[in-house]
Amino acid sequence: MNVIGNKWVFKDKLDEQGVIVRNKARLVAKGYNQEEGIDYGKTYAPVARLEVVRLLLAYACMNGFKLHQMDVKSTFLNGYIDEEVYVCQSPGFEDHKHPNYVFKLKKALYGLKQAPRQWYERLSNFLLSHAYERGKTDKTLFIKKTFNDIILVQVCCSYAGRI
Amino acid sequence: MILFWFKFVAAMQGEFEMSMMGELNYFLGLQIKQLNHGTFLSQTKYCKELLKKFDMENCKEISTPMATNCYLDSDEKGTSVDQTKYRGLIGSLLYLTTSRPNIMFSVCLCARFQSNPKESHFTATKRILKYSQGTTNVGLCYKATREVFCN
Repeated sequence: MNVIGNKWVFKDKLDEQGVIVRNKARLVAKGYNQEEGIDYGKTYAPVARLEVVRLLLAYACMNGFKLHQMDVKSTFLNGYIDEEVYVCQSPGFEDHKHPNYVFKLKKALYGLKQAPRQWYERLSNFLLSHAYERGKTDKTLFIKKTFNDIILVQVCCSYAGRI
Repeated sequence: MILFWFKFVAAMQGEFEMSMMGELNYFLGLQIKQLNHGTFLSQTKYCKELLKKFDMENCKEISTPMATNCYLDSDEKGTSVDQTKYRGLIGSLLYLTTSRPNIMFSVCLCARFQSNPKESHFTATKRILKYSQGTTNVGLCYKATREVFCN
């Protein structure tokens, strides 16, 4: 069993003129220390190809749909993990009384090998439970139909769209 | 139809922390305009950033991506160029083909020499950049029609 280190990544968000509009901080796990079979199992996660996005645009246009975009905040933190993964106390937030304690993860962190997969898993389960159908070829397309309505949801690394 | 959309939004917001970004207009470097008569897809911003990244933002424009008499071979006697930079340039140009399929041939031709890029290959690749300098605004237009057209 490995204890995974972590660190803070700080980033300034710029607008079009290059002015700093927001300071971002993100806790990332040092996933490169994870051992296969112990700290993670499968890591494959489907991602929509750019050609698919273009196809969706063309299809939506042909049928007169308007595409909308939405964004899940801190996406990968939503995935639940199946393996037992322990992380160190994060820098700057150490507990001085118990410096040797570590955290057991319930959800994924950025940087973990299984993070993208677990996120896809969670999202697809959610959509499937809401009677969406997964695309047979493109596993990132979800469709729901009634008599005369249709909703298409394309899942990209940070995206979902439709009407 | 709208009801369907609202239901979806409500369900998603109930489950995850979401931010609504409204109509799709900018996504992964693709600028998308959804109009009543069609959809227009371009990469103007991406293209300008690409030119800047390779210090070509003030370069001259050329009307074609490749010379008519262009002949490229492995050019073993030529001077080598930085392979990492060459590969980076090819990768960036490949992304640009999303809204610009017309440069696909020239980019792919240049891409064949990635294992040992020479000055001559680099010059040919930079010509594509010069071409894109003059055509940053072009893109793909999908017309809102069900007619299938082929020529």
